[in-house]
Amino acid sequence: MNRRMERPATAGALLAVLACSACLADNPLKLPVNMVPELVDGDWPVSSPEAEGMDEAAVRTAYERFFSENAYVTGLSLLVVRHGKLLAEGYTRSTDDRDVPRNIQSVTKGHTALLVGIALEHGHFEGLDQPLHDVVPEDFGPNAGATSAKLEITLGHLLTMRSGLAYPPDDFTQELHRDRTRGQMAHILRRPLATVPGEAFEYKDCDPQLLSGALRAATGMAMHDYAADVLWAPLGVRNVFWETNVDGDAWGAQALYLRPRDLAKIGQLLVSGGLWRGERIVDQAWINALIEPQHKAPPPPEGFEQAPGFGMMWWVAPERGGVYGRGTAGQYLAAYPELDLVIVQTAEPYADDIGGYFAGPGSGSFMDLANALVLAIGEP
Amino acid sequence: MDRSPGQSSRWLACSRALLGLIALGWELSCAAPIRASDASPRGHTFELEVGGGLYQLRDEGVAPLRWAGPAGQLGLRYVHAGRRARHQAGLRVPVAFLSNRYEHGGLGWEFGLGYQYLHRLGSARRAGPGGAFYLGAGYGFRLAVQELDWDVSHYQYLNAHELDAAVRWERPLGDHAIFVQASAALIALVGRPPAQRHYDETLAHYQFTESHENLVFTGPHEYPSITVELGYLIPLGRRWRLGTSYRLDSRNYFGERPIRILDQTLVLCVAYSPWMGAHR
Repeated sequence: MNRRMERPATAGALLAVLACSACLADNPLKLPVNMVPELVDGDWPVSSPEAEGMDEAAVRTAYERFFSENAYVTGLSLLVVRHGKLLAEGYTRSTDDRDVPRNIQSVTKGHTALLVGIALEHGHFEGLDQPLHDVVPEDFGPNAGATSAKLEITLGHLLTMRSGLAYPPDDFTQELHRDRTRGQMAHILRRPLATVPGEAFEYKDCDPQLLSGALRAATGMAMHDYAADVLWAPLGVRNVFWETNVDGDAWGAQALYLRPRDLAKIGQLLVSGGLWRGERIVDQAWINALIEPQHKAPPPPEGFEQAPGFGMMWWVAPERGGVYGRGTAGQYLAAYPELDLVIVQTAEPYADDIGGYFAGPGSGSFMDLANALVLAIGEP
Repeated sequence: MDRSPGQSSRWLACSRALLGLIALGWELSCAAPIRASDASPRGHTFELEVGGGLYQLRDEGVAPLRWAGPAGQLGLRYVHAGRRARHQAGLRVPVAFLSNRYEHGGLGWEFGLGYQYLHRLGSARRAGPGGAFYLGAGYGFRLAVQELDWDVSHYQYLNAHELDAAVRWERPLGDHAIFVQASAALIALVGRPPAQRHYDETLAHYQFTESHENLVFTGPHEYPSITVELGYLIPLGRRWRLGTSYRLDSRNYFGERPIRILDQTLVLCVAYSPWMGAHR
C-alpha cells in the first residue's frame, strides 16, 4: 500500500477504534441480596425470621426473587415485621433508601381512613352516617349543583367509595393536580352523580379527597397537620411529607411520602388492633371496621391482581385474613392480623406499572411474594 | 406562450440567477484546490454538519440503567480565522432513539450553542511540519432533555452553562489535512431542574425558562465535561471542503440526581468559505 492510501486508511481505522472504545457501563440494577435489618435507636426492634417463627430459607428465597434483575425490576424495598419486630429488611438500590421517604401512592387512601377513625373517636365527626353536607355545607353552595341526592352522601359512603360521583381517577389527576384555582371541594361536588350515593362501589380518588376536606372542616386543621399530631408523632414517623393541593389540603388518595419503616408502622397498627408499643393510637373497633370486607372488589385495572373484597380504603387479601393497601407502580402494605405479620414493598413510585414493575421474564406480583412469606410461617 | 411584462421580467431574473449558479458551480469545480498547508484558511467559513452515531446515557434520577441508541445530529458552525485568532460559533442538535436492556424505549435530544476563541501559538505564517497549534477558551450552553419510557410521567433535564478551555491542532497531510480539537469545562453552572410532568401540560418554553432553576456553580470535580474531535479534511474546490470526523462528547454530573451522557458521532461536514482572505 502506498503512502497516499495509508493515511486515510490509518485515519479510518483510528476512528473505528475510537468509536467502539467508549461505552457507559450497564451495571446490575440491584445490589446483592440484603435482608438483615439494622437496629436504629428509637426505630423498630429487630429480630430474625427463625426467632419469629418463620422459615429462614423460605424468607431468603422470597428476597432472592425480589432482588432478581428480571423480576420486580423497579422494586426498591421489602420489609417483613412479625410480633412487632422487624425481622427482614432489604433495599435493592441503596441501603440509604431506609431513610428516604417516597410516594406511597394509593396506599395513602388507607392512611386517610385511619385519620377519619381517629377523628371519629375524638368526636370531630358524629358517625359514619353523618352527611358530608353537615361537615362542609359551604362546598355544596349554590354553584355546586347540589341536588337532594348529593346531600345524602355520607362519610361512610366516602370511606367505601360509594359517593356515586362520576369522577374517574385519570380525570381527577388531570384536572385537580394542575388546577390552580381554589375551591377544589366544591369543584368535586359539582361533578354529576353516576349512581345514587351508597348504591355502587367505584374505585376513585375524589372520595378520599372529600374526606381530606371534611377532616379540615371538622378538626380545624389541614389533614397533614392533624396526622402529625395524632398519628405520626406517637408512631415516631420520621421525614414524612404529604403533597397538598392548591387549597392547602393534603391529597387524600395519594402523594403521602413515607419511609418503608414508617409504612410498616401503619401496618403494625392494623395487626395490633390500633396499638403501638402498648399505647392505643386507633380504636380497636375502627381497625376492625376498616378491614372488614364491605363489598366484593371489582375487576382490577390491568396489571393488578384481583382482590376478593374491599373494606374501608383497604383491600382484602386472599390469604389468611389479610388486608392490604396498594399503590401505583408497586407500593404495597399488607397486614395479617391472624399471623401478626406485616409486609411492606415499595417500588419506583412513578415507574410504568406494566413495563417497569413487571418487566422481564419470570416477573411476579406482590401477592406472589406475600403468599410465599405467609407460607414461610407454615400452618398454625 | 404569451407572457405579461411582469412575467417576462421574472422569467429573465430567474434565467439570470440560474446562469449565475451554473457559472458559480463551474468556477468552484475548476478552481485550483485548496492546499493542505491552507487547512485553516483565513476569512469566513460556514459549515454544515450531519452526523450519526451512538448516544448513551445513565440517568440515576430515573434508574441506574444504561440507555443507548442511534443518534442523528445536525450542526451549523461559523468560523472566522485570522492570522493569529480563530473564532468559532456553532449550534448542534442531536436526537437519539434510546432503549435499555429491558427494551424500554426513550428519546433524547439536545440543544447546544457555543462560541470558542482560539489563539495560534508559534509561527502565524504557515503550518510547518509539526502543524499549527491553537489554545483558547469558550462558552457553551447545553440543554439535554430525555423522555424515557420508564418513568411514565416526566421529562428529565440536564442544563449547563460552561466556560471551557479549548485546544486545536491541525497538520497538513499532502493535499489533505488532519485536525484534533478538544475542549473541557473549567467552571459551569449546572442544573437538573424538576422533572416536568406530562400532565402539567407546561408550555413549550419550559425548556428555556424553568429549566434554569436550581443551577449550581461547579467545576470538573462534579461536572466533568469534555469534547474531543478528530477529523480529516479534503479540499473540493477553491472555496469548498469536505470533512469527516469522529466526535466524542462526554458529560457527567455527579451532583443531585447524577447523570452521564456519552455521545459519539461520525460527522460529515461541508464547509464553504465565500470571502477567503489571502494566504500569507
